[in-house]
Amino acid sequence: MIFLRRYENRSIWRQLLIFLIISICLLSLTSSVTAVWTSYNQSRQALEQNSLRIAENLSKLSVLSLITASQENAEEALSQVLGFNDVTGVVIFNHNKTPLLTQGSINWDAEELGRWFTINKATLVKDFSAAWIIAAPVFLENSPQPDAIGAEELDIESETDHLLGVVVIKVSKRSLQQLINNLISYNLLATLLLSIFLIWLLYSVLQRLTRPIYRLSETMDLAQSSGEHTYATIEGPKEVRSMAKSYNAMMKTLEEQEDKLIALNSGLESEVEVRTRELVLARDAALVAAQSKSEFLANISHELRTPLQAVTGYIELVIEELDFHPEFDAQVEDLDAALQSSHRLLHLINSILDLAKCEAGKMDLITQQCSLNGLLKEIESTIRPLALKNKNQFSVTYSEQDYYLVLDKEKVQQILINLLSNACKFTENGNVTLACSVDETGVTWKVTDSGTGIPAEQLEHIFLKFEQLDGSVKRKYSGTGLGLAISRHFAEMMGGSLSVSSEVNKGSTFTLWLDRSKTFENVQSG
Amino acid sequence: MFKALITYFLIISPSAAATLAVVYPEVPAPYKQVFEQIIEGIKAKHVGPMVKYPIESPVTPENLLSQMGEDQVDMVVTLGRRGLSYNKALNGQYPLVTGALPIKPNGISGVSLIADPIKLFKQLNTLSPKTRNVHVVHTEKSLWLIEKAQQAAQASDLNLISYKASDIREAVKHYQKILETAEPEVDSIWLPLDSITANEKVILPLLLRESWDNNLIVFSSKPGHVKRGLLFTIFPDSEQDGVRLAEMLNAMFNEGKAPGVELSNSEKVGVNLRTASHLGLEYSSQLKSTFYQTFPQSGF
Repeated sequence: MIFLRRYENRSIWRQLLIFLIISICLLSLTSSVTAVWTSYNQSRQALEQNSLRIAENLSKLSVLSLITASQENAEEALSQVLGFNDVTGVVIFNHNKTPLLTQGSINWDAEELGRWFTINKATLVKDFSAAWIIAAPVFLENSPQPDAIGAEELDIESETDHLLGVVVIKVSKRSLQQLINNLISYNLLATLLLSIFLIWLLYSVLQRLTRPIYRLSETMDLAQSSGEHTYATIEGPKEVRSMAKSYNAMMKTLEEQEDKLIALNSGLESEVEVRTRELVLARDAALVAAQSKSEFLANISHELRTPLQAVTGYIELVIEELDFHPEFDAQVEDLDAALQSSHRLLHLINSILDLAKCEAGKMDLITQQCSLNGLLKEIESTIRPLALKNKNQFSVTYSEQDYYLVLDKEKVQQILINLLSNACKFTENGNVTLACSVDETGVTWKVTDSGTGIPAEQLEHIFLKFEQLDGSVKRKYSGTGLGLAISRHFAEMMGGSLSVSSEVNKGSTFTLWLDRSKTFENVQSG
Repeated sequence: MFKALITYFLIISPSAAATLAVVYPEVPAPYKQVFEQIIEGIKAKHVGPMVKYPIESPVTPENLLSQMGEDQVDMVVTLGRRGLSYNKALNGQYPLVTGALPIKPNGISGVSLIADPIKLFKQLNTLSPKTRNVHVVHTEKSLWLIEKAQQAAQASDLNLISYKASDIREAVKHYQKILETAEPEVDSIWLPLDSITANEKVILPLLLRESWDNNLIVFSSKPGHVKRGLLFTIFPDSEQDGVRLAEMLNAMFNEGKAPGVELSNSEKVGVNLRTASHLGLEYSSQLKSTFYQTFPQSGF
């Protein structure tokens, strides 16, 4: 398996070839070894049987020589046995265990000889690496002819066979060894030739079988590298043809889908272009409209404020003149009401003008250096009378260390006064506080009251234009509904933020935070 | 007439009513036919009832005697070696004769399978008229036969030269000596029924080879030898043996005297024509027609 893993990245043709070559070699080797082994065993058995028969025949031929104790007769018997090339030695022993005739080299001892005289048929008595020693008893047979059952009934004598002696032959294994050598040589040669032929055959067949796969693979590679839809040639074995057909079908589908995508894409591009043009036009129109609106508001506010200021001035003049005439007190009160309405209207117009400027991007920041605590003092003096109006306790927490800030002081004051006036307005018999703190991120002002509070779902709405909590609030507390919207605009213009947290019936906290990098880069401690 | 018949049965043929038992081995063919032919011969001669005791598996002598008692057996014929094994038990109990064996005079009566030398020498004179000398090698066991053969040889105008051997080595030496001196046509060798001097593994091959080389006439008392290449032999006549056995038994039954062993008087000669041709012996068709069997059987 390790060997196969080493080749697993090779081509299928090479892997198959290697696997089959190894298989063929193993198969050939196994069959050769089996054939040699089987042939060897069969030859060995055949030679052994043959040798036993030779010994038996010699024992029969030796009967006369042993009876007559004649070496001439023994030589005649031996001449027939020694004709076999494998028989390299013969000894004929007579009944008193002395050799009648010896030819070749056979060694024995008395104990062995004693054993050989106990055997009753031809037996392999010694098995050397180079030769066998086979002994066969020589009997004088007196038995009736064993050709048919019943013959003994006609014979009165039943004498037993009489042992005359023993013949011993030495059979060389040289021919067997030669046979084995030949078998191994021929088998190896045949195996080698067959293996070479089979490998050549496999090489050709595998090449023929795998060529269509390579072509299909090349077609796929070409498709991948070029991005084109290349089609494979349908050829080769059934499975490869099936793969090529599937690949071609896939290519066709991809081509169709790509055509559809191209068509869809071009349509989409046209659509996007049209829509973009429409959006640009709409955006431009909206910008123009917004600018026109702001300009209109700014212009109309300016146009409205100018006569309103004249009206206010004339009302104040009339009130001043009538103050010296008590009989016109009732008219003075009416004129005061008219004057207050004029002021509110003027305030509204100013607010609209500020908001319009902000939205039109015409509101400019006028930065100046100012003291943080000085700023707070000015605000406190402005707000304290307002706080007393609803019997609120107003307190200001100054910074322990005063700072000189570079900012638009007017707008910061406007934001904080707006927040504090709202706090005083919506709080009765409560507390209103202004706190300031400075840290590494910037400066933070917190305006906290213990007033009615704002429901959570309306917390973000209060920063929208003309938004107040509801109609009842507007009726009760009056106001333009633009203060918080303008304040947030101002805060964002200065690179800061304005946020709120509140709890109904417990109060609210508005937080103004200005970024240190924009507001404090020139800060100097006082 | 009636009186004459009664006289015949009571005086002249007292055995006619006697029950004869035949004890024989049950063997397969072809030896079965030998016993059947003998029994046929007995049956042909014996007019009274006959009981057959085929012995297939061993039967004790007591059981056999008991069965014979039940069957009211009066006389017994034992055949073959298995039959002979009951002789000891039957002897003295019943008149007893034995057949189908090469028996020799040894206290028993019966017909031997051994051919009478007279018949053999008569055939020798017929088949090889020039032969004058008959050499025979025998052991002590066959001495009784040689004595008979001497008389037969004289009667046949032949010179029987016998050699006594104590074992096969001695026998071989005798044969070698005979072969060295024997003259074709004049000398012949007779193989008696002797397991030592007519040993089929040693003596027979030796004589076959030498007699063929030296053109010597060799004949045998054993029927099987002619098939292997000896000139002639005499086959037993089983039916005639059966007749003789019945006659001997009836005589014993009537006279109470054991007749002893009688040699086979068969004249069924078997000749090996190929050997005869090799020896230069030619036989007329008339003579050939008297041969019981010729060899080789496929024709020559």
